[in-house]
Amino acid sequence: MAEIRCSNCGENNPDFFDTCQFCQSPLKSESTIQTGELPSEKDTDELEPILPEWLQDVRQQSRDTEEDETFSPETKPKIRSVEPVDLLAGLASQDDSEEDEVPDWLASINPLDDEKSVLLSDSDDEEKEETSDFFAQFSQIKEPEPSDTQADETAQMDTTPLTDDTESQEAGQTDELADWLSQSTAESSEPVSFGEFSSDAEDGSSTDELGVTEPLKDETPAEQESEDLSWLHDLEASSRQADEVPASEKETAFDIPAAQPESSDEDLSWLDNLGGVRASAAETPAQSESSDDDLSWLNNLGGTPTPAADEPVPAEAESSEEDLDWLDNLGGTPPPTEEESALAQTESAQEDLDWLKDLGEPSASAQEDPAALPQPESSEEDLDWMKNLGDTPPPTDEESRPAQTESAQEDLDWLKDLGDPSASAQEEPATLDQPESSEEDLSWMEILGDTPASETEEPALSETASSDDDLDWMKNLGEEPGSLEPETPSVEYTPAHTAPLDETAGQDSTPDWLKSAMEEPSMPAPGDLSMDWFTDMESEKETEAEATDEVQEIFDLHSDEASDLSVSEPASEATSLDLPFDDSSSTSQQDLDAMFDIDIPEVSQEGGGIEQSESVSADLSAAGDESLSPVDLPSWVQDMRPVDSAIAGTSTVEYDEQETESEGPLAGFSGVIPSAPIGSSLRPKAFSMKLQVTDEQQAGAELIEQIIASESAAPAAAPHAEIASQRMLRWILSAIFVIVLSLVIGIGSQSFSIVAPGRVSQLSDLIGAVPEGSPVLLVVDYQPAVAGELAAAAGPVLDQLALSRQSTFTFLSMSPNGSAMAEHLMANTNISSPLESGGLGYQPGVQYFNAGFLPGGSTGVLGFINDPVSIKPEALSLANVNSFSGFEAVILMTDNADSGRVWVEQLEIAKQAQPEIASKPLVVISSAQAGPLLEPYVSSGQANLLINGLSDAAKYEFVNQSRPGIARAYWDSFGVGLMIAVLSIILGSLWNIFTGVRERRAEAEQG
Amino acid sequence: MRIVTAVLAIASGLIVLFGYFFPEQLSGLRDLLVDWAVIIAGMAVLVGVANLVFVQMEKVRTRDRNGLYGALLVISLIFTFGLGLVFGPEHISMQAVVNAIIIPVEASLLAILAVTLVYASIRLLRRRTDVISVIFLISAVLFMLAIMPTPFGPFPLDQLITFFVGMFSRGGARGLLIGVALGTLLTGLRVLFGVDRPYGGN
Repeated sequence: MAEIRCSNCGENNPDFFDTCQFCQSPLKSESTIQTGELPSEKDTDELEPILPEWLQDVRQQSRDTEEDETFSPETKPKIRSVEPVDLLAGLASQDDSEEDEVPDWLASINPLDDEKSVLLSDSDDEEKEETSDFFAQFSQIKEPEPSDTQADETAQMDTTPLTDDTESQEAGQTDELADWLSQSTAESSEPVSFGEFSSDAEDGSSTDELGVTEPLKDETPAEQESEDLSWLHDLEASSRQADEVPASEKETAFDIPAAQPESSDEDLSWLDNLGGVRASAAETPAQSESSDDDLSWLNNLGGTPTPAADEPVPAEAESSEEDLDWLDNLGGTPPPTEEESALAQTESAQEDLDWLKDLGEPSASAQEDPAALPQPESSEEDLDWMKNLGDTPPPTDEESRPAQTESAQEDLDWLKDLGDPSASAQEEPATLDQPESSEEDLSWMEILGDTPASETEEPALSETASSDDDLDWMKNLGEEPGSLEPETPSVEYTPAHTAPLDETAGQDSTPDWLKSAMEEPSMPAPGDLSMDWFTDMESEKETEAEATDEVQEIFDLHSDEASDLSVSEPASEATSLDLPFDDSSSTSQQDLDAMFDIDIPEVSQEGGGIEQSESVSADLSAAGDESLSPVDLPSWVQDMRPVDSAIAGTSTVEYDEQETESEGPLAGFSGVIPSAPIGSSLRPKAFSMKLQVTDEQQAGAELIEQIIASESAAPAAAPHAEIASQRMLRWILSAIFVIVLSLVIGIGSQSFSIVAPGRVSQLSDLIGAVPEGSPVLLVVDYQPAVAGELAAAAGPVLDQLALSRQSTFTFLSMSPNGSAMAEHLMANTNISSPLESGGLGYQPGVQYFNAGFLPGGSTGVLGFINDPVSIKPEALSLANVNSFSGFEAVILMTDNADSGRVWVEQLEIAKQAQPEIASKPLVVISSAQAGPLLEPYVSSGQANLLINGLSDAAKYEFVNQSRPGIARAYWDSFGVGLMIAVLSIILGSLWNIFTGVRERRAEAEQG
Repeated sequence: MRIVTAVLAIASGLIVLFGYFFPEQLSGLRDLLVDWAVIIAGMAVLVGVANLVFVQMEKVRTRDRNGLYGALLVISLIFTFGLGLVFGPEHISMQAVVNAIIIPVEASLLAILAVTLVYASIRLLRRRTDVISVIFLISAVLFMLAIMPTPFGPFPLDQLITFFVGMFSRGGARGLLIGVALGTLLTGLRVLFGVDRPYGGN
């Protein structure tokens, strides 16, 4: 019998018990869902009370958030149609065929796999070459045709948003930022294209138009550049005044040939220190001083003051690529060394994007192969700062070298370890060698959200009115969306909202992938403690609802897109990355790490998932914001909800309270589903064995029983009419026999003749051989029923012996009635009758002797034959003999074939043992019924003569002169009786045959 | 006890059997055992008579429906036994009892048997009409016809019929006797080997 273990007391109970027999606690829940059953859909509002606290809190927060969103549309959940153009999102449309390929830098984003990321960072050189990085394409394309490629890449960058979003305004905003970034990565030979694209984008022209680079190049973008990047000049000026960033530090891989106009170079110089990363002063060559000056303010954009003495005045025309050098240190990436900067001047624009590499991982650049040093720097390297965007340790000089020399494919490696604190921590020692400027630059990241006053004041000093407007978007980097807290940095960074970006662009400049990353998840990731950074960096709403899976999807999407990124994409990506670096935000570099350090829920993977989820829920509740709308409750949450226990209202067994398996393969595990079937309530309950029937049902049952009994009972046999006739027949037969025989006997008829056969003479010869006066043994072995027959059969023999031989008779009875039969025989045969009455006058004890009964059957016969003295001594004494052989003849009178057989056989044996007996005759007188069985002994010679019944007796009597005449008296009646019997049998048989045939025929006619 | 009885029975049988083969050595012991058997058989008759009296007396004591016949039987037995002891079997009174009671009663029963056999023969073909029944009836009729005396002398072909019927009857009788002899031999062997224990046990 199955048993159910009580969850309360732990005792085993039979499965048919609903409550524990020991503690009376319920064993089963009526609402238990069996394994394999799908939870039915229910209104979540009804189930609201049963949800866990953390879910309730989340839902409550989401409701509150919805209410807030009605007042502040900026905090609305992600609506892609309203979102600004996602520059990276368009990458997917560029090459759908390679969507499956995931770049390494995205593959290593998973913060859980630290070791893997470290390994990946160790093998950056190889991976960068192998990875189908868009930077590689960029470099490859750009080298042969720098200007054209740049234009194309910019066009690709711009076309990407169009595929996702058709709003021209947003596309234009994004294009503007992409343009200047792409221009910064462009070669020095074509610096004009940046301004052209930006102007086009600013004009709101479609990306298709932007894609046409040649006509745009023809146009003179001087004025547009001044408009677009003027804020950069101001920004750089302010940073130069505050920190005096040396020109050498500002030189980055964005170095552009001197042929480039200074204006374009200067516009992007501010980006050098956008992340607070100090531009490498040593690297700044004289050629790029102008551009360095322009972007020098970016070195301290993060709030880290850069020594003003270090910043040379960038009067010369620097390449736009150098202007983006500040991005190298945005995430704490150390500025390139002087040697590197010298090399960077000759690098292509693709290398300028290497700053992105260090945005999340400076260590990657530190491990780069120094063999790549002689390679010219390109604009790709400028993006290396992106590598360390989320990492604190800035790359060392040695690290920056390979980063500069690496191909564009390597540039995206920074995303591999983006947000990987472990990898960065391991490589922190390498960052010790970084110049102070870079370290200081990283400091701004730590207080990115705090926006120290010293940091904010610096750009304010040099910024112009136009630049203030342009950098407004920078002011809100990291600022909580929707929060309109007036902060000084926001005022000072107003140049971020300058011409390239309008106000809406500044507000919605966050790319999709970051938006989605910062977007509220449908539910908190269980066990993800790193989600706090969302709370600090973004609004509480955004941080609480961040979903791990969505982030993962976003990164996957971008990884697919980034596999074929063109030159323009890094620019757009860089633009999109502006948001986390908002001065007003409290996001630090660690927060950036945490952004990508989202753990995948491991509820199903580990047993401690519940605790993790609880901790997460606690964190979320602590966040105190409503980021989860009720309708966003994912289906998997609905599936996971504890429906049964909650609905039933029963006390849910705590996880800790669940019993731990003590035996079996699951020993040690707690919360194991018990072997007893769950939900035994579905089983049929025990019912009373007593049958409850109504009176009507009982009556019906009795009726059925009667019917069945009547079927099984044998029907009474119909009386046959033949019984009377049969009984009558018997009476008729009896009457016939009695009447006829009585008449025959009564008449005394002796009309029937007797014909003596030839063997009758044998009897006379045998009796004649008996010596006269010799004793003769007479064995009386018959019943009184046949006394008349045997008397008639034995009469002629005894009469002849007594009359002719005067033999003495010794009667030996084989039955208790034998003595009486002997007397009856002697009387009926008239032997004992007096002579006067016609008898022979034999006297008992004188002429005949009645020896009595011989017991023992065959044994008595054997004993009497072998030793008559011992067995029946009086028989010998009476007969005056000494042994059995003293009897001259043995006459056996029997109606029993067995008794006659015993005497015949024993005498035959005695004849063999005693030869004197062999000459003594044995005469067998039997009834008609025993005659046929004794006939064989006569035929074999073992008996001398057989007188069988009345028929033989009559013949012997006829030969003996009809003495004593008994047989003759019965002869006529005997004949009449036989005739009646024969006729009755014949006639009766014929009648029965006739009647039988008639009945069968009648039955055949009836069918 | 069962082993003792078996040993005694087997030993007695073997002694009597081997007494035929070695009469000089075992004849005395054989005769002694046969005497004991005859005495035991005589006592068994007395035990049987005593059992008959006790059973019928029990019926009388319990007032059974046939208790009256039992009482009559017991009284007749005691009267005849006493009469025989006093006057002996040759006394006229004893002969009167036998001739007046015992022989007519038993002869009447045998007469009823004759009528019953005739009736059965008549009904045989009604109940069972087959070859065996017909043969049985024909054999009986022919045998009776052969022995049947007639006013005109013996039945024609009586000798042939007697021989024909006698041949079959003798053949059948011999077969029966041989079968009885084999059965007796086998039974004796089984008793000697202890397989059958008619004296008790299995």
